[in-house]
Amino acid sequence: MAPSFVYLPEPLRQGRREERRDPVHEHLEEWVPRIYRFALRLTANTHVAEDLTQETFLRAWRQRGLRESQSIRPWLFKITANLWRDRLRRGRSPIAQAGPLHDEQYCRIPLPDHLAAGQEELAKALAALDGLPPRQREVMYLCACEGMTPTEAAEVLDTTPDAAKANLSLARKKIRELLSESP
Amino acid sequence: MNDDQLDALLREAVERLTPLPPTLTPNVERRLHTVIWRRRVVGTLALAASIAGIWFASHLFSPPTPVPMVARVEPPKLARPDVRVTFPKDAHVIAVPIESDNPNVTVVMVYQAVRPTQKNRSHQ
Repeated sequence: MAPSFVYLPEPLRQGRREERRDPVHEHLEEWVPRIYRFALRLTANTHVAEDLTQETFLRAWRQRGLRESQSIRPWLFKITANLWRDRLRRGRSPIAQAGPLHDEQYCRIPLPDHLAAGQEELAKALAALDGLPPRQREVMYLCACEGMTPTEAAEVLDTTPDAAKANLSLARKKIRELLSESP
Repeated sequence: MNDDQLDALLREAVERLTPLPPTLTPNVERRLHTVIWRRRVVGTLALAASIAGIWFASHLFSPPTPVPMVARVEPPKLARPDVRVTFPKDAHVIAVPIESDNPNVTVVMVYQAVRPTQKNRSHQ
């Protein structure tokens, strides 16, 4: 296995990927980015999100061994959400309660790079999503980006389906307003 | 913009504008492999310990194997046949029978008797 600190160019990484085809690696390739993005929406901090992602997979492995592909999606997201709630309860995280995303990489203000690349609309949409209150942002992310129903999102976030529906509706309304406001 | 279009826009925005730290997946993988390896080592040690425990228990607490009893059969004493040894009258021998282990063998020690000379005979 290559040391983690070595950045491999994409063709090399693909070669490595073909070399080792173990199921754990395939699961990770598929799920790590998704869990990380969700963790980022929860924590609003890249370092904490990274840590939370690693913890999620370790706990998942201890519980089931990552062998079951069925129903893995809500289960992994639920682990992430539970870990985050535990951290908040214990006060372990430097961020007591995630507000709107404030990390420098995920600022609500569209970054010049994004604007330059002709991705203004995408950047605005992301800024609008990250500017939502935490619960609305989480429900919106799970429903819009992970294709969950409000009931599934409610199960992941340990809330009621009605509350999830209400949060989703509010989030959509607010994002539309933010997108239509901006020039 | 309807709900589906909004969701698609958000999905694309998140996927394209949220860069994944390049070391994240290898880090997760490394930690998982460490856990897997540790679990295997612990499992192997536990298996070896349980096998050793079972072996010790079976040898320590099992009753001692009984030594097979061997019956000692005494050979029946055979009746010693009555053996009679006779010597001529003028043989001048002394026969001493000696005890023998074998009932079929009779041992008799025969000594030559000292014959009295003429002189000794006259003294008598």
